[in-house]
Amino acid sequence: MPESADAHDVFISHSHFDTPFCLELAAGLRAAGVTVWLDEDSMTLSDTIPGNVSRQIARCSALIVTLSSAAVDSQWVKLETDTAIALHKNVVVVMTEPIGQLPDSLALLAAYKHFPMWEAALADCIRHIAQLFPHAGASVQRSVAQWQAHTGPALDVDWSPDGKSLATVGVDGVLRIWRQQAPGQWSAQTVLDEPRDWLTHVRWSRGGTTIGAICADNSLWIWRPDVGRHRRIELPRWEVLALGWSGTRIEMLTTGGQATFETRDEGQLHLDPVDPAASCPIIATISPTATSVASYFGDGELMLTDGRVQRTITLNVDAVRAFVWNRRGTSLALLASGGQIRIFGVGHEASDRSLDTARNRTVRIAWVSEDLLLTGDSDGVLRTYHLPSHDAAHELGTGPGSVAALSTAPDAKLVAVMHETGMASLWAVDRGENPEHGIGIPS
Amino acid sequence: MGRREVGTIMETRAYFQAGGSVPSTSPCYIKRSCDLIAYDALTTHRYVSILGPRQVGKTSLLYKLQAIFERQGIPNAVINLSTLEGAGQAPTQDVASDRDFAARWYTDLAERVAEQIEPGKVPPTAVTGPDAFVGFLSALPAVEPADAHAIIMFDEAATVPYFLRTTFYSQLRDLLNSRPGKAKKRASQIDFAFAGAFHPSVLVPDRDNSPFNVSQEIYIPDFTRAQVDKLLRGFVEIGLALTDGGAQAIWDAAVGHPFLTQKICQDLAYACEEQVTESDVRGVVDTILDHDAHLENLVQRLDESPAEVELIKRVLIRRERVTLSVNQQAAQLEMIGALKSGPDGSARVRNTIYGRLLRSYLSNRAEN
Repeated sequence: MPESADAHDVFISHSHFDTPFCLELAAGLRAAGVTVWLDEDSMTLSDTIPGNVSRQIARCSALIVTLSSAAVDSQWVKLETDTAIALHKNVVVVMTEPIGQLPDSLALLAAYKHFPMWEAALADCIRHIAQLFPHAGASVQRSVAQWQAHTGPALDVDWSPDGKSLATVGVDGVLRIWRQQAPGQWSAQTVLDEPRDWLTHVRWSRGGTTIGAICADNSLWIWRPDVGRHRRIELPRWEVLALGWSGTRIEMLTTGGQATFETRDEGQLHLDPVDPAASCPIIATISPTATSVASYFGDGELMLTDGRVQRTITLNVDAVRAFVWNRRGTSLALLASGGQIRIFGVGHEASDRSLDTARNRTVRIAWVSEDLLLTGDSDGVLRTYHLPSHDAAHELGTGPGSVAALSTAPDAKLVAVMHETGMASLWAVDRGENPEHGIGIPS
Repeated sequence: MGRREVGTIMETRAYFQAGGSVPSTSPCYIKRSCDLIAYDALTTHRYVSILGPRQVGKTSLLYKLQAIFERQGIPNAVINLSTLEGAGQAPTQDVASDRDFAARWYTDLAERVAEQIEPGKVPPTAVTGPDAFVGFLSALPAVEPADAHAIIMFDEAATVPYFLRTTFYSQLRDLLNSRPGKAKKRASQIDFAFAGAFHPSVLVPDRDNSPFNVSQEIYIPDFTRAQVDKLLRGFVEIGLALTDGGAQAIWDAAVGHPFLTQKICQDLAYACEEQVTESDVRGVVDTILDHDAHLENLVQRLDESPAEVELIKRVLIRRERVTLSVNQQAAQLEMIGALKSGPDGSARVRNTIYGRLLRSYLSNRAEN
């Protein structure tokens, strides 16, 4: 750890044109347990005096130079680099764009480790830097990987059935498939960017060959990533609340009724509208097995359906924020406004229980396993709730921005978290060493 | 889609009307239940607050009511307060100057009331302030008999200059309070309607002195599907066949928003030759989304309201259920027109066009 309160592990030298990238880099390093000095959040007016900058560099163990065409021309970057080299600091060069010949003023940088960010993953770079600081090693692994997945808020994420790929969608109207290239390094393999509006929901078929995605312009996109073929199906002007697969059929729960699309052959859209006189659901979810459906109506009624078994529950909560089925479709975890979590079984009241999280900021919920729940907050905080130990909450840490979507891998070893910043973060699940917390240091 | 003959363009232009008040005699004036509620209230000696965002038909309703009152011989006036001298002006901190300004504002108001309610009968009078204004109203020949009844309808009621607002509106409340007593002022025989895109409790926070607090509150709704279908019959009037798909697409796009529905129809009337199809509607909607002053105004209002934008993000991105009536930002967005109350009372984007606009707005912000 740094020796004094105003000392830091790394000092990030950069041109202000590169501030957004540096903020992202700093967030990743901090999540990895590295303390960072970045003028955007540390500097007072007096800190801009060159002598004070030199003192700050002297207190840091390493200097990260963010090199871009703007940085090459920056007198500050030159001053900070010269200072760090003169003080024999460890220097890491993070290049945000290809730069031909380094100018004479920065020629000394050629001797240090370079990370070309158009080739390397940010997570790799962060991991390398974190390894320079042994104290950071214990926490860096909590978030296994973190990367910018979308421009603007991400809205949904789903694991492929083989657990090797992630499908993500966001307000940029792009569907991306991510695959792990190396430990901690994920890159987009294929991209569908034809939709002209937000993509709000995404689900893999159970066979893993096809992906269904809902576009906010009321269309369903069906995509075969292996052959790069897609179809667009116009939907009625109903708000799609939930998406799921049942064999080759896509199931959609909407405010106007149920819609199904048979993907075989030419495909066929079937609509089952609700009675106009009946109240419409305002939130709904389909279990991963597509055997269970939950619908919440504005009048406070929650309806759970599992095949022929139906259960209606009158909820005494202000509003429902989210709910999600466990993998087998036997239990529903419901997140109410105010942070209260309630768990319901489909056909039996005995399994109902309530957890008072007292977190008004909690916005998303997911099952990690049959006895472990994960919640995400609007301030990025992630927590787990271990059900057998009676509601014990464990704070995992803070992801990069408000949590937008959560998805647990089929083998329940990784959890994908999408953020409103467009970032994706992966968290490892370890049941051996930390059964209470469930998610933590991977073995 | 093809261009229509030039000679028929004027004809189509006269049918649908997007923007401005729709004349009460226009075939595209669509009656809504709120028309009757407002009429009932004003003819049974109640004040009325006619509320709603821009371009939903508040002014058209005032002129419709005026036309009815004219036919029934009820003296009345419709005054657009935003056209009075110094509407929305802030005080100067100079007492003499402010007093002088107030006198000019009240005099301008009195002259306009007189012009409409008693044309040619009331000589120009200097009205120095709220008490003098009540005196002016009491002296109107229209309220001379004890059972006389007159109606004054104020449009853009939120544009009363800030420093005159409390006294102006509390005087109108006093008039209502004085009705049952023996000291009843003759001006209390006048009923008032207040129309605008405002929240009564924000405009006049003191409930005991607010005329809105004792008004019949009428929120102007969007058209129902049946009302839109009635408007769409206009296509037949101008010689265009509207396909079922076209009609559905118009409804799907605007979901009864009065201005947007009229705007789509008006643009289609210009653009289509013989029939209006779903594809024509989509093209027109795309064009409206690209450049329409109404939508640009909405974006401008959002740019000025960061707290409201955050709330839109909660509704659209986090898909939170926010109750309009208990959230000030949501209530403000309702008055800007972006949101409306869904079946469960939570905030929903008002219509499909607004949905596309707001999503595009948030995406652009994210990219920048």
